[in-house]
Amino acid sequence: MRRVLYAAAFVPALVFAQTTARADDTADLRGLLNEPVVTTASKSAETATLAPATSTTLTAEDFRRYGIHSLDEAIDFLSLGMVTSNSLKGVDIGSRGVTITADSGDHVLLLINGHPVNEPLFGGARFDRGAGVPIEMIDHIEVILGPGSVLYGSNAMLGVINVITKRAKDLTGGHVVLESEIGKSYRAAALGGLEFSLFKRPSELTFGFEFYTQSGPTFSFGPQDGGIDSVTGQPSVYTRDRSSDVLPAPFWGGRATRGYYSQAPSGLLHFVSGNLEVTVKATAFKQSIPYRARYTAAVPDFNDPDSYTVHRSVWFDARYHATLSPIAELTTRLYGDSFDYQDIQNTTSASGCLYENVTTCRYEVVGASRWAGLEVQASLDWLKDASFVTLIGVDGRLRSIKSKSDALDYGDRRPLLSSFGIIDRNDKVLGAYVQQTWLPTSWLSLNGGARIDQEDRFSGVISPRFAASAKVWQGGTLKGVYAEAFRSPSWVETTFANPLTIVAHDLRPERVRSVEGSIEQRFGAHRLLMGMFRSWWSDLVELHVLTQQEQEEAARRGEIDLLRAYGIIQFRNVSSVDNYGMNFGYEGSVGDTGQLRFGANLTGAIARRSDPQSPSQRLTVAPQTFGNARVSYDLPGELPTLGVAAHYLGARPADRAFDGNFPVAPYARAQLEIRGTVSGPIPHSLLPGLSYRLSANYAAATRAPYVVGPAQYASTTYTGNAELAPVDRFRVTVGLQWDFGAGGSR
Amino acid sequence: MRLRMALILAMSTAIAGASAAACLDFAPNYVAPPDAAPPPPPPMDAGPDAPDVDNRPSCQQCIETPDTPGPGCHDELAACLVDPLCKSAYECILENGCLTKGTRQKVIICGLPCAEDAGIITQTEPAAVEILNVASCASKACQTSCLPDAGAD
Repeated sequence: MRRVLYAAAFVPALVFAQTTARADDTADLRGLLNEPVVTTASKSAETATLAPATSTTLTAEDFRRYGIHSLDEAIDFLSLGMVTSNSLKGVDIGSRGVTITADSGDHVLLLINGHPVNEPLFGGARFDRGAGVPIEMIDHIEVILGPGSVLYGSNAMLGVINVITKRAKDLTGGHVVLESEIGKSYRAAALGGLEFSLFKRPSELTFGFEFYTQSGPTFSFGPQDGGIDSVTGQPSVYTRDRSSDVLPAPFWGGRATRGYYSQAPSGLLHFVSGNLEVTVKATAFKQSIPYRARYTAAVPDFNDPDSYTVHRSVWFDARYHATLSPIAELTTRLYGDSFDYQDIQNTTSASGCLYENVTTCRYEVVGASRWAGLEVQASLDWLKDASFVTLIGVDGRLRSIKSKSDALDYGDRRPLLSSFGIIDRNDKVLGAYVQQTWLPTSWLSLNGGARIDQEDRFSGVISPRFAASAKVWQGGTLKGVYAEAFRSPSWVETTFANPLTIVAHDLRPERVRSVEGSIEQRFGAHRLLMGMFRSWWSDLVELHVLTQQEQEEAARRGEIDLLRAYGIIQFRNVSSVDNYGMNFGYEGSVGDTGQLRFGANLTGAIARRSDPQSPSQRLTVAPQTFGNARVSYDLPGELPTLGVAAHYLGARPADRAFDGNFPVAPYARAQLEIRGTVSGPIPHSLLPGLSYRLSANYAAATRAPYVVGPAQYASTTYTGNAELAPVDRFRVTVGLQWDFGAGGSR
Repeated sequence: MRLRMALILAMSTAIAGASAAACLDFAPNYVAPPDAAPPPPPPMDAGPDAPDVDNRPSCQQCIETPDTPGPGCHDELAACLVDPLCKSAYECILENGCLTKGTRQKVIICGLPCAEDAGIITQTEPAAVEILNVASCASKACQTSCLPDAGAD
């Protein structure tokens, strides 16, 4: 890997040498104008160079150039230091070498227009199509690496992602989008923006509605030999599908013709009037995957469209900004969120459905979390020149969490057991933070702060951060950051119990400490960044499989029924992670209007997980090297823009690599995904304002690092190697956009 | 413009409403525990005038038959009966008629509460192993009489 890093350091340098020689005043000016301004790192607008964290800004223009359709694609193809891994069920998101498998995205805080969307039941957020933000509505995405709890509280361990939607001036008129991944998905979106005067205040409204539906592709799975079912003494049965698509008992697998689909209607509205800003968003995401796997869908029948999950959310965020004096500004934010969840798994396996005269069991889990809160934030610009600013804030919220699980007869929906796993709780969360920024000279920026978070389940957690940036020479900036962050265990982790899961005892918040340093150099329109980081994670919450002795003790205490279940699990503060590595980023443009653009990011990182019961080992699913590269060119006039983007993931251990006892530890091979995109206006069309986007995507590797099927362990029945989740290798996407009314979409 | 704004707001409200209105049902289901086992049949009069009829179910007869020449599971049963927990579970299984259920799955479903009532809490403790040995033997040596509907699982 050392060679890879070494080479990567040289490539941008060579490009610099060639391009800076031709840099002129235009390029210098463009470089200044192109310097990203971020608002997420310190809750105030500042250049990315001086922000107290390493960040990248992903722009709408790049989404169009490189055929980006969703948050995870934007992260993979454009961002520095963050990466996602797709299991078909969803994406695991990681940063700088740390990915926590199947964490529902709960180690990254997702903001939409500054509103945190991670919910407390699972702590998670969706970064795939389920995020429910029409890509055409996004102005830019700020990706902040490293701990961010200092201003945002729980979940901001790997980083913070803030999706900023377009203002009305950039979305004026109406816009209709029709898009299809040919043979797999369709998407229709309607967007618009208007500016007007309301009560003599300048006002604006932007909105976007989208419906996305996907079915397929058809993947083939198996065969996995299930042997003899221990309950029936007959060949194991894994589906009630009697068609020729599926393999006969005792095998699991076949062609998944019906069980892989998703649907996602969503809408977002953003209203601004004077100092008032309101965002309302609603999303529903229904999804079915054809396979079973330990961490994502434990028991569903193969190729079963009636086994699915539904996530729904609706929220509003209203903030009012008041200037109290030349020194003091006050921002008040009132918000309310509702999230609910359904997980339906139907199983025909006799060992998973031990009830008399019941052929197929239907396991239903429903959950909901609802919360409302108020955040008040004061900014004190003591010297009135932004050189010494104190930010103080308090954020309090009330939450309600509910969940229950049921076992039903699939045939007549008759309950087979009384409801279990019941959670019905209310709690309070309070966070208070202070941040001081100080620019003692024109070349030095200092930032320090801390936040304390208190909730009913845990005592207070303090998250400090200290950062310094120094412009040490022309265009060169050195930056150092120390930060801590935490994650409150989700309510599912602290409170959930079912026949296989013992309720957790005394869970503590996860913690991370991080130190990083970077050097950034700008030459005209070119930016080069190199950074080093190290982080220490402790008290990571994991599902611990109880030892035989622990299971028997729990059975004697009456906590579990070992006659009906085995492989009992419990959420515990199990492990710690030691992580270090380097980042490299480069971007630039050439030409009078920057018509030739390019960029590349590369991360090399080591992350080792350890716990008291096993030796130190790599993190599953997490790549040690990953990155992306892109180049685009704007042809003149009405000719199209051509873009090519690629993203790379090194080989990764599968989720069951170290606990499945497979003869060969399952690894997913290195992945290289390449996407070519052509986009531009359709000249001389009957509909003025019509434009197109055509992209083709090819993935070199066939498998993702997730073990699928009933063979989650090597056993006496199944002695083969693990089967990994398939990858949708080739996709062609065609899209049309019609801009009408007052103007076009930027 | 008002009409357009009204349309937009209506659409927004509709989407938000669609998400929030279809509320999930969090009322727990309650399923009554299964009825108590039927009272055991009155004991046979074992007096000298009692007819010499073996009223044990055929499955029980088979299990209690010596392994050799068989078919039977007497050895496994004998090991079970010296363990108080296993003996209690076996007697409960007999009382509840579990051995006449016809399929292995039904026998297991019927027998699990007996094991629990007897104080067996894990699948690995000696009493559980012994009763499972009996069941395993019955499903093989006594399949014809104990699991006549085995193919129906």
